[in-house]
Amino acid sequence: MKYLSALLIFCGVAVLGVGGFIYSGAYQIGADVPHTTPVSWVLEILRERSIERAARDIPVPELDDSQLLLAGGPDYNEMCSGCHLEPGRTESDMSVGLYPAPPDLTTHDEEEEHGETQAAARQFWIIKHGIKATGMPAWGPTHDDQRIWAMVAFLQKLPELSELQYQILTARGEDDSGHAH
Amino acid sequence: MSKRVSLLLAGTLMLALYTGLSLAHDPKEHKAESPDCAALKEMDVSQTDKNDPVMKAMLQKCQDEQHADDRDNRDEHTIADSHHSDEDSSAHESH
Ligand code: HEC
Repeated sequence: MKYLSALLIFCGVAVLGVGGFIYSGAYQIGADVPHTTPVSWVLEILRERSIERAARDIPVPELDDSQLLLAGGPDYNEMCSGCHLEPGRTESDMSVGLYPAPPDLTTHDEEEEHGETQAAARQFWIIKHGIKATGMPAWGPTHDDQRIWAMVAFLQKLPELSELQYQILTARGEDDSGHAH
Repeated sequence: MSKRVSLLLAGTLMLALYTGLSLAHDPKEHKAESPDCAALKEMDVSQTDKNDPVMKAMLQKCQDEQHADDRDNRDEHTIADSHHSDEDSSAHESH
């Protein structure tokens, strides 16, 4: 009984302490000051576990397809390259100023970390739903799944593209290519 | 609403639409982001794997581009010209 009440008092003080700290305004919320280690750690686990669970059962279509690349390239260039960069560009206002920083998708090798299929499913889920409080928008409300898969297909090739290849694949061109004729 | 006001409104709307349309169809706007197909032609295409989706996509893109050019500017051959000479080779196989 004695131990139990000691424990209760300890917990109460801890909760009050955390609450007081949150309310005090002492935490640095500016994007130019990194999170403290414990906060980073909690957020990272929260994000990774949540994405892994949500993306687990997404079936991945065949992505090694030139039509998908032609459809996804211009979309990536217009909607994503400002934050996630492009071949020949190592930083932008967004890539420097956002916190957490948007990963450079021209060098980033997802497959090594997650395995090919899992990486594609993960990217699809992230693009469709976005990530809270990071600057990564959800594109699902305004783009259908087909368009999102096309960008995922493009992302699989992006790290190997030269500047010229990137330019040709992403230019909208005369007639909004990306469709078969 | 008086008849004059609605006429005026309709006129303004039509004028706005017209300017919008003619701006959108200025061919120079399109040219700005045309794919750099001339550079692709300088590459030695025979050395590359034609089943590679990236290569296939680039060749397709540059063909689409040429068709669009043929259609849009019959007398303004700029980018289109650079393709006519080597039409025969690899590009068509990808279809
Ligand atoms: C306003 C900037 C911004 C834009 C625009 C943006 N993103 Fe992001 N994106 C981010 C940030 C920031 C993250 C990292 C989030 C995090 O660390 O949790 C991210 C993460 C990602 C990831 C996960 C990378 C990884 O391996 O964890 C993918 C994939 C991605 N974005 C794809 C896209 C695509 C595709 C587009 C365009 C349709 C896009 N993003 C547009 C900011 C942006």
